[in-house]
Amino acid sequence: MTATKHHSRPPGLLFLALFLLLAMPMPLRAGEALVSGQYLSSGGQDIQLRITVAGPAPSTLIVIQNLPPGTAIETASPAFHQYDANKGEVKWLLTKVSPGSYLLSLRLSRPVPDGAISGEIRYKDPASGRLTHLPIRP
Amino acid sequence: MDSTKPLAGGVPMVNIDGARIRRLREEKGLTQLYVATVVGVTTDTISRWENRRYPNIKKENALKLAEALETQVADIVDHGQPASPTEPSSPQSSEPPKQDEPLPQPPEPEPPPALAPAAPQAASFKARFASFPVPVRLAGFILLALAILVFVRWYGPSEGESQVAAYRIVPEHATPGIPFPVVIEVTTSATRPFSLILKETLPPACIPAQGKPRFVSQASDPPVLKWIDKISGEQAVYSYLAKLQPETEMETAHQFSGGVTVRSDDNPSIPISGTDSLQASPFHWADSNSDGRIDDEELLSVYEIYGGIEGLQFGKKLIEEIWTAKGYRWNQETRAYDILH
Repeated sequence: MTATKHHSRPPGLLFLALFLLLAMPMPLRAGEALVSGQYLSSGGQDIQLRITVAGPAPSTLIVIQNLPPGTAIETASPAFHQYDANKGEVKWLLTKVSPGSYLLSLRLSRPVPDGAISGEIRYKDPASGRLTHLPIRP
Repeated sequence: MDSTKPLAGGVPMVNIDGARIRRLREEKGLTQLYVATVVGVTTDTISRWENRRYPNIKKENALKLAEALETQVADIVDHGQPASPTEPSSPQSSEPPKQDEPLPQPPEPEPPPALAPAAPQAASFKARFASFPVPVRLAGFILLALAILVFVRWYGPSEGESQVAAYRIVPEHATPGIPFPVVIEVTTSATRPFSLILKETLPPACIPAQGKPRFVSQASDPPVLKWIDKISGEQAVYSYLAKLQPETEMETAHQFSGGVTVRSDDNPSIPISGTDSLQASPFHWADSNSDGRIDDEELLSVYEIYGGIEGLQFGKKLIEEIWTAKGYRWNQETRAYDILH
């Protein structure tokens, strides 16, 4: 009787531990899964950047594209909000953002070498309300 | 038959059906306090309207009463019944009746003789109850306790409805004459829809403008805004634009106050927490650190708080213009911001 009881407890405890482990919410690292950015093209005359947003999405994103100072831009899609040619800093303001992918592209007047550009996404984390800076590397 | 009766003074009056009003109110689970707050009268007045058969009230009040009862005016007016002889409501009456004031109550009927000797009857009841066997008495107690429990559960305020909170977000400062947004978030854990009245009192120097959803302006000095709504989710957002009067002196503080009244709750008002003060300042309301520019964090904060409110014209264009510029400066002469490029 005692032996049977002794053997029946560990599986019960094991199931309980397994249940607790599965039921416990897995904390996400801030900014990790919410927003990400990836260059589809990071050199030459055309720069293409894909932004992926997961839920719960921040409602607004600021995307910054750093180009070599003095670079002239022929076209942009979508239109940027701010361009400081001296600094080579392009800013987009994306509002009413919902989960999904967004493609941002620039056509430059002259080609730029690979690795000469970088980007950053800024947004308020919906859970914490903190400003998040997410660097994007080619 | 139109039951509207203009008085000598020209105020349209209607006869309403008191019993129907009580029935409608009770069916919808509304308290007299809630109805009184919506109509803008005292609970005594509502009680009087309900207890008299066909009270004669102002048409304006009848409209508000129908609104409170979530019905049409036609449903509460008396269409066929002539005015009660005790209610002087005839248009020919030389002196208009003083409406919404208590009338002398009829004397209470004499109690029937059988009920008069109360003490001996109670004693007899006790004696009879004591004569029952213990299990029967015990069962009686249990049944009584269950009945009380059911009564409290059924008629008492629901747990969810009493857990209502309201939170106001107001910028720390605003420039006189420049509109700023105010948001009031009402949260609840109630599982079923319920009605509420949200009242917001603005500082006397404030001029309210657009409301989302639309508010009812109740007073102007100081401005009082009112929303009557039905909440069916966990959160409801009420927002409006306001501006300080252009002549408001800089660096003066202005107070907001308000509360929420829930229809099935006897609590008269749940105060709105959060920010309740705003300072008159030459800095734009979105420039929260007053450094003469709107930076990325300030812009994102503005969009996170106000960007999701459909149709609220909080001045995005100017904010984005300042954000993309090097800064701005308030021009007292033009009463506008000079954008610095």
